[in-house]
Amino acid sequence: MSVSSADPREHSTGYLPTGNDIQRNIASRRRRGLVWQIVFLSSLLIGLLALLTLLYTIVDDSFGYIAVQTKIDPEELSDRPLEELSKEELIEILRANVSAGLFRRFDRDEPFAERSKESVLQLIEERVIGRDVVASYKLTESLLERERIEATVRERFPRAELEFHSWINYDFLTRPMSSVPVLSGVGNAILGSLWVIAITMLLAVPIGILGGVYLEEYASDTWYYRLIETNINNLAGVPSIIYGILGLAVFVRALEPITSGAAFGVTDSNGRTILSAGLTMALLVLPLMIINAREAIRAVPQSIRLASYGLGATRWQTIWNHVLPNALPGILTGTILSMSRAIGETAPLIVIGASTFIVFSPDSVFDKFTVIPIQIYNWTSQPGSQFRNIAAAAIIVLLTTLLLLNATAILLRNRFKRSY
Amino acid sequence: MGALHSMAHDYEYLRRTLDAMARRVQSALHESLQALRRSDTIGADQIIHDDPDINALQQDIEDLVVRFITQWQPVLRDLRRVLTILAVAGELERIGDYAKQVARRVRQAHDEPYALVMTADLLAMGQMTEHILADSIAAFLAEDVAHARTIAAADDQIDARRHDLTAAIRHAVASGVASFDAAVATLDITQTLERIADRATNIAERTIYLATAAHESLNA
Amino acid sequence: MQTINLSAGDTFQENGKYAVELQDTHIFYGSFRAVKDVSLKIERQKITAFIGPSGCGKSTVLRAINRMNDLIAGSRLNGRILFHGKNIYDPDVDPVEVRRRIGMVFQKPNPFPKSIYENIMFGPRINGWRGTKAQADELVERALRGAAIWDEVKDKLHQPGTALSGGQQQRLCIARALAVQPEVILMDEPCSALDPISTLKIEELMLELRRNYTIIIVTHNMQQASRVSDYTAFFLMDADRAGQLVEYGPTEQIFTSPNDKRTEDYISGRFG
Repeated sequence: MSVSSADPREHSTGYLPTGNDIQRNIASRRRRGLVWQIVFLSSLLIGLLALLTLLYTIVDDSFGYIAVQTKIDPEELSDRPLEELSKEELIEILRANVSAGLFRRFDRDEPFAERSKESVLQLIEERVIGRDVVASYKLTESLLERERIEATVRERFPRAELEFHSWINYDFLTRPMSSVPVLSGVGNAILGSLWVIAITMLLAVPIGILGGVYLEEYASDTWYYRLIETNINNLAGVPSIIYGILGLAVFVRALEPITSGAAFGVTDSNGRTILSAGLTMALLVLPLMIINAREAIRAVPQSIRLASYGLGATRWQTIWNHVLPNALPGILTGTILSMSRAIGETAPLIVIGASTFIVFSPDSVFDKFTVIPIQIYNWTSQPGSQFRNIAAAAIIVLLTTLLLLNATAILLRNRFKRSY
Repeated sequence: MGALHSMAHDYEYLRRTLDAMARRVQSALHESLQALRRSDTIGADQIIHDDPDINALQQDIEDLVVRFITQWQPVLRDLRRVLTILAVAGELERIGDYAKQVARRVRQAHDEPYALVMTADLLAMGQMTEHILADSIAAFLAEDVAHARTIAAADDQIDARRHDLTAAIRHAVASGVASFDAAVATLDITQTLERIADRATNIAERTIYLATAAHESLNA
Repeated sequence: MQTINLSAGDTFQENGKYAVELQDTHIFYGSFRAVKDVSLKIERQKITAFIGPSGCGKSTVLRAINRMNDLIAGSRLNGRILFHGKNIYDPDVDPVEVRRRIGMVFQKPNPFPKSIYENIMFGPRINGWRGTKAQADELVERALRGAAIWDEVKDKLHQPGTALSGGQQQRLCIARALAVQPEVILMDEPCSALDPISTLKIEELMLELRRNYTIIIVTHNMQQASRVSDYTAFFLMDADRAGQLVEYGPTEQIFTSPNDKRTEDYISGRFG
């Protein structure tokens, strides 16, 4: 096979590198491989860069100096710190310091008897103390250009104090939203998200699992089942806003008696309720759940089923005793991933009509609601630098939630990984 | 490990069958030499009559070895074990035939009649043959190489004894003590005994082969 | 659903010599004929081995005997397979019942990912077993003793079955099959995934089980077939890729002087 001449045409079997040519050829092949390796690494780096930029922007907006000035000093209202007062005492302070008409309006929005203490406190802070943030600065600015900021504030807002503020704090997580950014919180948005997710999962999980079981274990390979399968796979890729339009037409409008609660005696709402949102999101998440359930069921080794049938079990006994229990960890993981998808959906809920300004927490499925992504959307579309701050803080809340959910899914998947 | 279903168990059965055959053959040889000593034709007839049993045992062993190899596919020492058992069974079968031959000569001497040249030497040679056979079988069943090697010396002695006996018989014919037929018959007996000793030596060689996989020649 | 009732009288050969009979059996996967024209009688309380090269249909025939082929889409059977005289492919016979009476052990040990105790009790429970806890314990012990594994696992009955070694897992699977009290046990290459020592243990077990059960084993290992079985059936794939029965007879005869030259060639390793 080895030839002395390098001309491939001279020998019938062509030319294979020999001698020194071997090293040269290997070197050139390795170089080519290295080039591609660098290309792949660059792609990875670009992705990382994008991610880091995103994180940086968010974190930058979430912390920084603010210049605060107040109308009234809280110490003038009471000699004890306001947090220590009881709800009744706070209500009294409020009544004494705002106009009667304004007080009545607060009561109409949500009766004081039903409000939480934080809500009353927030009203006091908003209307009485008038804690006003007149300027806010980003983190990098705050860290690097401190003297310049101090000088500017002293010049333009002589009465204001400069303090370092973390826009994401405990109050932020528990308070309802407010038109004053520094007093705003995602409290009721978090609750709204939880309610909607609860309804979504309550519907999507059982239907998804049961549908997946039927398609994997009972359905034979006929054209209509293949048609169903194709459709479900396609539905998983449909843009979520279409689900929103569907939800609007069906749940909000056509089924209004049910979703507004009128059929159950609730009179003061319309179809834009948590129930409608939950139903719509359930439809959105259902194809994912079915596909996930099918994958989990398919992952159960056939040998277990054969062993079960071999002992004289019926199909149902095999599914109930072996297939489902062994598929459950996989289904669980998929459920958590579906949940994290659903939490982040904005477009369909906007179409359904999630409220953009709502200050009270939901009590029942027939209430109006808002969710975290919509809150973020709302705040980013308002003018004023401080809304950007709280939007960034809300983004951190959302991202942390998603991270926790995904981490749980991975942990569960690793913990339940069985070798058969 | 399963006591009832293992290669060791089946091999043990094979070995015991060979042991039984060896006993049979030794007994046949002993009885034929007794018949010779006492000129006992009834004993001789019995040996001739029982010879087919020995042949049947050899065939049984053959079938057992075939079955063993089919079932267990032995290799190395185990394979040599069963192959040497097969070979030794063949040697024993021939020895059984030789014992029968001696018995025939006894019967013939009575029928013709003539008197065999019965000397103390002849009977001593018979005993030595019995011993060498017993030794070689014991060495084989115990897979004892050292013991097997000592057989060679005994074989040499038997050869020497035959040499002496041949001279004695020639002398007996020359001096008219023994007839020509008697001499031929007695010579045949000595030759048969020597052949038995050779076969015993072969068995010893099989023992060495089993243990060491080497082919050593012990025959002079 | 008519049950196969052994005490029903003349229709069933309850004391017949043959536990299972195949008559003119052809097995199809869709339009492809995988096995053609198999007729043989399996004698009760004996071990019958199916041997032959890969793809010649031995496993297919084995699976047909307890209707496990039904689980494969598109498979069907022409001909009859009689179990105690009744054709198990009759429309009024429920395969679930067939599989209870004819158990199966698979090539790769497949214990359930549950405790050893639960593995054994699964079969009886789903078949409607009722009894006290003490009776359940007794059932588990008998099954494990029957599979010669009781002494090794009696202290760890509540540990997972998957934690055992390969040979022990296979014996657990045999115990699991014994727990529903079958009459026939089908074994599809039960030792091919095991080491030689476990293999011999299971062969010894088979010889023990033969006293009470009819055993049919598919094996690639011809020494195993010659060591263990009473009867051997040799299968071969024909030119049309359908497996057929070439020769069937006592193992002693098949392995010393088979009638068919193809059998002789296969056993002496000349092809396949």
